Amino acid sequence: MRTLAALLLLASALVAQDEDPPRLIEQLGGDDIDSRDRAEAALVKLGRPALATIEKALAGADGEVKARLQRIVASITRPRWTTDLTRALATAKAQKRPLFVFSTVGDLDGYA
Amino acid sequence: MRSVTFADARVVDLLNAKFVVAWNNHNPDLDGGAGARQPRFTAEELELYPEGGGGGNVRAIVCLPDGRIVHYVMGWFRPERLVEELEFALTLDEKDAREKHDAHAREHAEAQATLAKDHPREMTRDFAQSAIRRRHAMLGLQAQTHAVAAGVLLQAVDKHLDEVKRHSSSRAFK
Repeated sequence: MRTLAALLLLASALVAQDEDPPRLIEQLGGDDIDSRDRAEAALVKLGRPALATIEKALAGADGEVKARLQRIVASITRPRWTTDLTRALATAKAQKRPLFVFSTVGDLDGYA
Repeated sequence: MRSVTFADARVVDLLNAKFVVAWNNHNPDLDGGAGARQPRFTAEELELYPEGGGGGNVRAIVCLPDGRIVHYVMGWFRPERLVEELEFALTLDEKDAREKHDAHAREHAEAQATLAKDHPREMTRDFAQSAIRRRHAMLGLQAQTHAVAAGVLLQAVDKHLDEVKRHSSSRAFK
């Protein structure tokens, strides 16, 4: 019983670590690329509640960490557009999620 | 749309949470051309810019996971309005979409008629001067939006956009 409780405690501590923005930001600068990728994905998943911490870190970041932080901010604060309609259709079908298509004349960035 | 509606947290969070999100250019011939780049609006200009403005140049389309269209919004919509339309679209399925679009079109048309009846003097005022007149126009646009959506209901979005692209490109150079 005690072992089970200890395991549960350990599991919840690990989950908490995975959801801790400062710790994840630290991992963005780690040696292992898989860990860096995982930390980036986890920060994107945390979304808007983590944004203030991410933006604060961005102010003092450089190199790859800065690039990753900028990408994370973009993923959280903008729609995650794909310009490949065929791929979007396949993803929507596979994930059984509705598809939103914004169609314009010309370049998206041209629109105010 | 990009710097106002698609920069709004309510719109972004709803799109990223519930939808696969794609951007499509239905007239690539105009990429980088004079018609493709719009000037940035000031906050005051945007306040008065009519929703629905831009017409067919800007289309927001919602599809079922299999790519069939269930909702279709043309022109520029403010964030709160687009959220309203997206949330409505999420309630639609292939069986009830037409019925719900018809019902919403009727509701908006009735609300518009009531507004005109209750505020006849406001209907003669300039849009910029009258919030009621702008609300009246918005209700008309929403009624029209449901009618447009009903016209393309359950069409495959890729085929539909191919058609739009063909029409749009040929028209641009005539």
